[in-house]
Amino acid sequence: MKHSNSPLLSWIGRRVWPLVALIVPLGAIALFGGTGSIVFQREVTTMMMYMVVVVGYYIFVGNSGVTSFGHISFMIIGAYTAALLTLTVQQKIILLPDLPSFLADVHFGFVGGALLGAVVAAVFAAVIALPINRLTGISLSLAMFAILLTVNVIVSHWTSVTRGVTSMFGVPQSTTLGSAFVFASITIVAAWMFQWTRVGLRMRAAREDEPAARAVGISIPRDRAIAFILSGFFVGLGGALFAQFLGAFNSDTFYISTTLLTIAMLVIGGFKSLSGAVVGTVFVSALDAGLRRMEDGFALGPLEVGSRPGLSAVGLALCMLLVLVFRSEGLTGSREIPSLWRLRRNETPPADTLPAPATDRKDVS
Amino acid sequence: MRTVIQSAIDILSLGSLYALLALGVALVFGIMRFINFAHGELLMVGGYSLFLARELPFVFMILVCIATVVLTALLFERVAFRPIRGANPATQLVTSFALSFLLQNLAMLTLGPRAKSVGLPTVLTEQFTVGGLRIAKLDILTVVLGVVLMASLGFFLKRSTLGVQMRASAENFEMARLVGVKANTVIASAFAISGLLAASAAIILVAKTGTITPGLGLKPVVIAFVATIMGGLGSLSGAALGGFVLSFLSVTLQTLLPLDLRPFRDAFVFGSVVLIFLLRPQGLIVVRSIKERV
Amino acid sequence: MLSLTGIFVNYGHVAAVRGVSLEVNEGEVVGLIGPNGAGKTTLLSAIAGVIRPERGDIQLLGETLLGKAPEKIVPMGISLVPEGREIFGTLTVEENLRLGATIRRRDPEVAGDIESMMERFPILGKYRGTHAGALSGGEQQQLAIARALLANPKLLLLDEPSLGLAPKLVDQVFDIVGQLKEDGVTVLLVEQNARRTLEFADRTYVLRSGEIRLSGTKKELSSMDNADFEHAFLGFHRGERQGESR
Repeated sequence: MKHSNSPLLSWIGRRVWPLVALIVPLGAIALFGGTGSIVFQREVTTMMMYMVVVVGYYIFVGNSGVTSFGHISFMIIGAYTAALLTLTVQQKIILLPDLPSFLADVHFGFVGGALLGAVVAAVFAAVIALPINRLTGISLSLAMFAILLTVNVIVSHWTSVTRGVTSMFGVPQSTTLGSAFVFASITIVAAWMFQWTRVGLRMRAAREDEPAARAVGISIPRDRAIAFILSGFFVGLGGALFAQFLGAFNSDTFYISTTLLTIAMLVIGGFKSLSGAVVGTVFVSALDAGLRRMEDGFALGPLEVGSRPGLSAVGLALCMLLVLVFRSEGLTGSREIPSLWRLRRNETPPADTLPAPATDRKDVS
Repeated sequence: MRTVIQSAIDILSLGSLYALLALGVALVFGIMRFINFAHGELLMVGGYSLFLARELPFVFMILVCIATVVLTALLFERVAFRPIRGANPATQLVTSFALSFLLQNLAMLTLGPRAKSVGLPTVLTEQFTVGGLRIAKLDILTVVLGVVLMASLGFFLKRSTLGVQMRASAENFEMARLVGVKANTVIASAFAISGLLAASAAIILVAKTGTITPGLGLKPVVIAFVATIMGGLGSLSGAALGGFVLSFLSVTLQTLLPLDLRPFRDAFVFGSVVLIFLLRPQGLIVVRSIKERV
Repeated sequence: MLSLTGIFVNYGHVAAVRGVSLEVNEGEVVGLIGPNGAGKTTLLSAIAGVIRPERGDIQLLGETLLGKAPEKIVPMGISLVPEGREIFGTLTVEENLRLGATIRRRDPEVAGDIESMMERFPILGKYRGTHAGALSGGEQQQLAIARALLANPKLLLLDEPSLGLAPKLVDQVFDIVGQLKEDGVTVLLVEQNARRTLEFADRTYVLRSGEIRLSGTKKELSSMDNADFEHAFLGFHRGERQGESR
């Protein structure tokens, strides 16, 4: 075919088309969501905000191949920052009388709150990025988990700033379906672009063969730290959007369940590809929303099924275990959307990843 | 002086509990090379089994608890972990995380989110006075149980055929299979023993607090991780020692921290994990390395 | 006794072994030689059940080994002494030997056999309570062989027993294999040390690039033209300088 000979067309096919193929359907979902009931609109908005969080999370996990169990700490920081900045000065006098003055006297709008939430989360990520990324594998996963727990303890008890386990409320509910979709799209574009930067490419090479990457002089900790900060920014952004969507939340709103939900989205979709992150978020959000509706009780013909708290979580965890056991590369097989032209020529798409080599157990010890 | 002795007793009793928790995690880690998040749910299952058997005589409650937890541990292995054996470590970690979440919510779904309480014999909760010190019988019992279990585990690993096979598998799993060690047997044994340790910890925990909730396992499992990590991931004696160091840290911080910082004690404890990771990636207690003599 | 027919093994997209057939008869010492990366260790791993061949069959005394886990193959009578010895370094010498007899559960003779193994390899008796990781390379090799023999194998697979050993220790290892031969143990010996193996084995196969290039008895191979043998082993004639032209 002539298509593939043109560099521009080839570039469009490889670099632009997969992005279009992800964002356009998402836009269609947003449009469709806008016509639905209020409940449905909220569900679609929630999905878009999770998209920001999960794609942000993917920027680190997908490129490095290392699971982090503590990314939700960035979400917590983003959420509280946004809440503190968008509450009016009068509200803060009542809710948080002991707030330091530099926080008590400022007030930002929706976008300002969202972006500053992301920035503060990114700054926190930057502080811990270098030391954390000296670790690898399980150690990193667990160290991040320890960070999540630490952040949770602080947020729960630092009542003068966070109100702890009692709700932070009155945050203006300004996140709309449209704005959530726009931020989700920006996050997807950013993740896709990062993947093609030198750092992104190096990280993906190192993900598949770490010793080889080290041998050619790639500094894995530095590359990972960059992805980590970027990742922290977007996960923080997601948290800030959530704060301005929910209006009220407390220190346990973003914790273990959120960690599991977001990991489930990434793993079920296929954690090594952006397409996996996007598909997983849509799929799991739909599943979660459906299960939640069942959880509140429903009528199946003449059969009345009562309220079942915990049902959605059980369904989600089961679904995740099934994927892990039977399809560990996720629904997308961790592949990206193939180039447009290759698709037309009906060639088999190139595997983005080689099959994982059998783990040599001795390496782990 | 009195507070020092009182603290020492607290440290020993809490340390024994932590050591039992850590050993359960470290034992499975040694052979499977992944951290089992769902270990905490073994405690939870143990707690609920005590609750469900609360009408039975105390001895039977304990037997029911041990049997249920060991069976659950074996079930974990068979249903969730065997199919992903040999998968990459991230997948295994995520699987155990999902399993943990599943069990917590299953408990929520079937038994409700509200805390259940179990009255254990008052013998356990009584205190007695020695030289002006008030000592809880439960603390003494905890220490005794901890010592007995740890000694038996050590003896089992050192002397029994299965124990030697488990140590060999922890060092080099493939070679162990090549001399005929049955992979399934060794792994199932590791899970069964970790179940036994979890059941003991659950009994102590429930005796201490008297209440059982779906989230019962979270904090203990985190403590087990921290202790295991301190001990250098995979070393059993290291993990047990890590448990005691952690209890020392926890009790000392509780007494020494200024009042307004006390609520943050756990943040200091968890934060110390991150520090330990950074300063000593091999763990606090480095296993004596064996140099090759050529 | 052992027969391999048309074995193919792939690592990802790389074919490591391509259509290998070979035969080991009872009481024989069979050599398997070839350059680095020829697929020798791969072949032994396939026999021991560590990896599964893509195609072909492996039979021991008429029974297939395919699809059997390593721990199921050991009781059938095959013991592997792996490359790099792989002794359990954190365990004592005695524990390593006990592990060698894992499959002989409730066999009252095990204890006696361990004692006689320590007489046969005196160094093991001397260090019985020491951590095996503290032994020297040659001592570890003896331990690895002793451990494998304690399973009372019908067939012993030896993977590069001389690798990484000083010349004197290499002699020692070949002496041990010689003893085994006299005791009537069937051995499949994988080596890079071609000359020693040829002298030693009853029959030898030459493996290169995953295929058997040459095979024959000691006599046949020693009567062969040197240049032809080198061609089979290296894939080119010395002095020709060109690479493979396959």
